[in-house]
Amino acid sequence: MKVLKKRISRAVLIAIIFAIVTSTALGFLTIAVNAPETEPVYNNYLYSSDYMHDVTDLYTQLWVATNMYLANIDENGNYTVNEYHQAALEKLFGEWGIVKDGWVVLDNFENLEYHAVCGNTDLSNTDNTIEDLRNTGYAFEATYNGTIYPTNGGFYGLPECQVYNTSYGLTQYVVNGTVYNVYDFDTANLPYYYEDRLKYYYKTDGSTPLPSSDDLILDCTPYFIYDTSQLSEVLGDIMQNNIEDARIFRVDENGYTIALYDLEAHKWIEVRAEGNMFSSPGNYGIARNDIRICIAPTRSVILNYEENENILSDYYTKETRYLIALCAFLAMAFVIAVVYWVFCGYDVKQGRYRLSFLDKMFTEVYLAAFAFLVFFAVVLIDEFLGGIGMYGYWYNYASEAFADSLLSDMFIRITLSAGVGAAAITGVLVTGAIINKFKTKHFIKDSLIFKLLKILWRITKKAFKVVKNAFFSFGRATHTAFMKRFLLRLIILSAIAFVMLLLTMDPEVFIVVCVLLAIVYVFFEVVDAVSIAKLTERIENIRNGDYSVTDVKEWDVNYKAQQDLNNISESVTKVVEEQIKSERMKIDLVTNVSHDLKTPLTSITSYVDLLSKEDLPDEAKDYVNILIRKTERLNAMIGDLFDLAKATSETDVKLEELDAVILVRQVLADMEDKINRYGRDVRLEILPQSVKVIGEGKKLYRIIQNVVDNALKYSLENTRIYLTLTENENEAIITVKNIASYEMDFTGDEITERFVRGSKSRTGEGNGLGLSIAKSFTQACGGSFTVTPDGDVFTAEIRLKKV
Amino acid sequence: MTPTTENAVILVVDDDRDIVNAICKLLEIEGFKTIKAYDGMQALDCLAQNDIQLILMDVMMPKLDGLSAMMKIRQSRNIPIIVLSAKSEDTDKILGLSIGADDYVTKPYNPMELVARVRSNLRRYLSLGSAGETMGKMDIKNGSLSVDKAAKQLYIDGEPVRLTATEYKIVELLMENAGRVFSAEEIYSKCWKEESYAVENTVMVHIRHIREKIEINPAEPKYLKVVWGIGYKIEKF
Repeated sequence: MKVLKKRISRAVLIAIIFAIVTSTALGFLTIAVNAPETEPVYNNYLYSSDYMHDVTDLYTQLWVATNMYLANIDENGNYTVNEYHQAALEKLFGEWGIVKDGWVVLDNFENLEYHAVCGNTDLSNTDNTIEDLRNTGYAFEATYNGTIYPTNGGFYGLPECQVYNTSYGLTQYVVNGTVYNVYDFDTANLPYYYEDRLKYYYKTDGSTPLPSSDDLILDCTPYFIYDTSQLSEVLGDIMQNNIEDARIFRVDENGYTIALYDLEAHKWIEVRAEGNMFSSPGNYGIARNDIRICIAPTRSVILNYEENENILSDYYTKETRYLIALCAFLAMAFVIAVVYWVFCGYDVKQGRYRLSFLDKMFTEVYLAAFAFLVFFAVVLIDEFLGGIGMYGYWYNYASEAFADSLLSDMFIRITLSAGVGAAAITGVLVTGAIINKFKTKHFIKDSLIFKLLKILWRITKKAFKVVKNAFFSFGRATHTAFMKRFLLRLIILSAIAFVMLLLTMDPEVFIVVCVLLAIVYVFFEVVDAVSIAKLTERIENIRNGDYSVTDVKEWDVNYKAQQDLNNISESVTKVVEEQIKSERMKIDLVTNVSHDLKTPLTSITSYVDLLSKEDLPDEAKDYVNILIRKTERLNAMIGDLFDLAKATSETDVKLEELDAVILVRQVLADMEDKINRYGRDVRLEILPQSVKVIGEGKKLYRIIQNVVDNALKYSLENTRIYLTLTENENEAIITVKNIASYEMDFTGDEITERFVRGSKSRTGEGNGLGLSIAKSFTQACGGSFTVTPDGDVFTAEIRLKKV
Repeated sequence: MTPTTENAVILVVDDDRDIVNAICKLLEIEGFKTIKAYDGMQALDCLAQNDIQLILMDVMMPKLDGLSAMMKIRQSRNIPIIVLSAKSEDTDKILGLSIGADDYVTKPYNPMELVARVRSNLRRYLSLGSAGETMGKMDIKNGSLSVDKAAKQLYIDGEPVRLTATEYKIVELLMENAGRVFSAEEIYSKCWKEESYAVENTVMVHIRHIREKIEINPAEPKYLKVVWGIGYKIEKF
């Protein structure tokens, strides 16, 4: 696995993704084009609910016609039942409309063929025999021995139709589930009871069964007695209450009613029914064994139905194949996806998993996408795949219509497939990203919730720290004199107030004491406040340079702080004094050295001058001239050195406000002779009208003079010197640029060091102090001086503070 | 013999004998008589014993330093004293001049300048009486400088100086307001009577020329000074 992983390079991963994309796209496109058309529509009679209703109605009519009418009529058309039974039947037939004026009337069912045989009578609407009907395999046949159901087509239950005969003159017809009682005797004026909302008449002469006590509903008050000794009691009760409609039954030990007491004759009538009272004609509701009912669809209906069935069968076969192909494709896509999930995020170079550019977003984004895709898939399976119908069974009409409309349009089909394909690819990539987050242990780390929690945790921690620090600093503060006194006062005063309250237990005294204590407290606080004010004032004085020592009483709350300030002041004073002293010594030293150098130099100058006045040979005169020049230079150098030392110690700067524009012009005018002598062209560019700067005039003059001097001395012949004056918000900037006559092998910092000259030979004019004096003087005036050698271009920049 | 500028006696005081000798020699070449002293005490002695018209005095000397000696001298005499010192600080110069020096020359001096200053001081001291008459006519006086407005003439220690018309106008303006600083524009508009524009150079050139005519050492002017970054003025004495 590890070796394999190493071989999976990024390219292979991309190839896998590409394979998923293309195969998914192609697969869904193929499926979209090849998926079977819409399921055929069932428009045959046999599929419809009418068929069931028609059969039910027809069977009921045929059953009534045979079992109730034909079975009770002889060959001559006379009723074989007594007049009471006949009247009841005629009443029912009248209600149902099956028999009219001695004729059997049946509804006309076009799609159904039937035979209803009763003895020699055959009711039929067809030329086909029962045999023919039976052979279609779609017929069902009801006989005395039971019902034969169709072998082809749908199964429909026949309505419940039965007949029951009793031994005492009651015939019960059950037609389509409803029970009708028909009596062979006159029921007028007979007592009755209800059972299942059906009226049961009975005679009290013992020829009919009496109702049992369980289900008796009488239109009189029944009395049941279990012992004849109870009779007199019951009779007395009836008499006393003047109850007219009362019946008294005697009940045996088994709970059966055995006798009825005749209140008028004052004697018991035995009413117990004997034997089996009901005799059922058969199991399947046909009263006589010569009755046969057969119903079948017509031939044309059957043929049409079978044709439909074949088309459907073809459709299902095709659809099943399509579904298998779809499943195979899905399985393949899943395998590729799994391969992708295994290898995604593996970095071959680093030999470990890491997040790719696809996986950089928050975890929740992927989870949300994943949840959405799952939802999408469920909806799709429910609405679409369910709609195609694994077994031709529709979930509901809505989805049927939905799938129908979708599948019927090729464009929608392709669009939908592309959508599903894109969703599938997104699903694979999103799942891959989630898996990769697990692999790199970034699942939690990358989640927005985790990050928010982390931030929350950090804030909490910080807040806790702040609270902790506040607590500790309060704790520390209690060690200062201030807090100590505050707490001590608070405790003592509270204690006094509390003790006073305990001693007197008088609230008025307590309030007075509290007010007094408050006054005392305020007094102390005022004393402390005064002390703080003094301290603040003193710190301000120190800031302004007053380092005088202050005497403070030891009881003062700021005693320690004041003492500390005293110490600080003393130290500062001492340091400042020492510094001033050392500065003075430095200047003295420089002054003395300079004096000591100047004295012999004065002699030299004097004598060289005297010598030059002598009448000397020409050669000697030349020598004297050299001496004059060199002494002059030595003098200038000593002066420069002295100036430099002074500038560095910064003791002697008289800052004033002056105009840099005027200054520059003055200096250049002042140096005009020298500039002319050197033959350089100074190009002056002054942008502002006037720039007020801070500095000491003499020093600034010296700075610009030195810089221009430097440019004259070290610039290439026949080049120009550019002097510009610009300004920004805070500074005036004077820039001098020239082309160096030699190669500049130094940095800007080096050249402004003392005694450094661009050309290292030290033979030319100049003493190497010019730029360093310029720098020192600029700094002494609060400005900055920089030199930038850039190729052969030498740039000196003087920045002076504006007013 | 009444002392004149040409035969004046000069006392040279310095603890460095070589310097004293060199100065004396220099002055003698120029025709002055010299007396040497090597410290402040000797200088006081020499002054008491001789008729001296000018003193050249070093500051740092043994026994009695230059400043103390000068203070003593100034108690009784008002002869010109030129301080000759290696101290070149402004504060030193101010101190020396305020104690009673008439001039201050820093070491190492320029021999020509030194001689010129000696002459200048002598001239003012010695020709005070006759100068008084001429000076009386003068409209503006400031130190050695004086201006005769009617003649449009500038005098240094009574000696007329040749100035061009414009130079004279500038000098007169600055002299009338000695101590006040004038910007180049102001000077231009007042002396040229024209609208001024970028005149710094023009004015500065004239100033330089004037300086060369009236200052003994133009590099370190005594009267006509440039106030850097502001303008120009003539120092008020």
